[in-house]
Amino acid sequence: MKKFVSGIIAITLLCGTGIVQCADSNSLPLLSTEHAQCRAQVLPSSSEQSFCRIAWRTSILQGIVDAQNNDKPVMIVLMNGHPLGCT
Amino acid sequence: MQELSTLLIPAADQIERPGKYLGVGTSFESRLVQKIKKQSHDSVSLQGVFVATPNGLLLSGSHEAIHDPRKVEEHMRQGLKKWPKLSAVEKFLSRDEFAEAAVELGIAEEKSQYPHDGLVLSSICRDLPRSTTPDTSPDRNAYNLDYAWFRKDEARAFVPTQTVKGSRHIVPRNLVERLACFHFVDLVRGHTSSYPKDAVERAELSAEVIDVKGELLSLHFMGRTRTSEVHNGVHIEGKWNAPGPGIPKLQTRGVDAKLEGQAVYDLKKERFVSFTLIALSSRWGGNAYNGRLNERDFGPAPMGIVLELAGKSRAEQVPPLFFGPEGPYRVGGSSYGWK
Repeated sequence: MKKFVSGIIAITLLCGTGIVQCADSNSLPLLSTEHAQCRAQVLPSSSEQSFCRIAWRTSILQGIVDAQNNDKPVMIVLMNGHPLGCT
Repeated sequence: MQELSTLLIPAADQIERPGKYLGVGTSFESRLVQKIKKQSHDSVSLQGVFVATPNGLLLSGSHEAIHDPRKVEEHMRQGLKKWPKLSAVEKFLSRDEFAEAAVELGIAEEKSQYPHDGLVLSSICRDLPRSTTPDTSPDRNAYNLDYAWFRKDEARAFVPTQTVKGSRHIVPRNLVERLACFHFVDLVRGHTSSYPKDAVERAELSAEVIDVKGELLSLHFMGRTRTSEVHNGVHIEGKWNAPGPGIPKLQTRGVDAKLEGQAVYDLKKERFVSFTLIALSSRWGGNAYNGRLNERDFGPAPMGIVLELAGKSRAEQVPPLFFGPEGPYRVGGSSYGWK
């Protein structure tokens, strides 16, 4: 799902401001080489995390209420599993 | 594109979670989702991407769009094109309806168990390279994201009582078991089941104080977990596979993880200011829901899981996957500290 969302965002929702604190690449000097390498291989790249830059509401209801308050339509993404968590 | 994304309110949600069943529920939110879905004339699944008015008039959307970013963009454009042509009555909830929505939202937020003063970690998993030859299969680079929640007292249990350099501490087994059962699982390409308590063969994690600077303790973690389950003949969808070509006669599943990490804990503020825990693991087994069945990719195969301090944004306050129908961090009648 993250791949899907990243794909969507990369193509359609390229926002400029960071909303979510994405993983950084700070050094972790206490780690063994193999664990440090594993971390580097697992953590998503900035492009994979571009969906983080969207000001997502995490429930439909929150989206609806904010849409009404802001005079805007709501875009709903519904999945089994939370699209911003584990899908 | 940036402008496009700001012209609507983006909302993401899961169809079912404890106390919330958008597909069949009777809450205001459920009824609105059902209203929108009904207009899409798509009975395949409730999953999809939909652009709608606050009062539930579908402007554009489909199930298929979840697989195609270009369709998402088209739905956004179509919805935004229709929006200005609608009257206020066509767009908005009535005053009474909006009041009902606001009350329901307030109640939902009150029920949140997000541990504001505890420890919240993002948990990211991905397959690790299996050879030196790059694998170009479409899903090979997939990753998935979950969150791990710890209350304040649980977070403190990762820290040695003796806060002097060289102090060592065994992290309570129930916390490590919780990681093994609910977070060291194969979610790389979808969902799977958590591990029951009796599948946990090892759950060890120790912390050592490496440095002390004022109120800040630098910690180093080392440990090992191992879960192992053998199919007992009872089929469980999303955990085991029905018999078929390429399905082992005796199905097994498990994760063997070598753990290492480091963290900094602020004794005065009683919270972690940094936290990293890495599970370098071998996983085996798999099912249709976590995508391993299609490729008969039952391992053993290397998988990495990285837990790091999450931010505070709304998007990072999504509950852990296994805050499921059984209850938070519960499996097979065993409870791991949450109610």
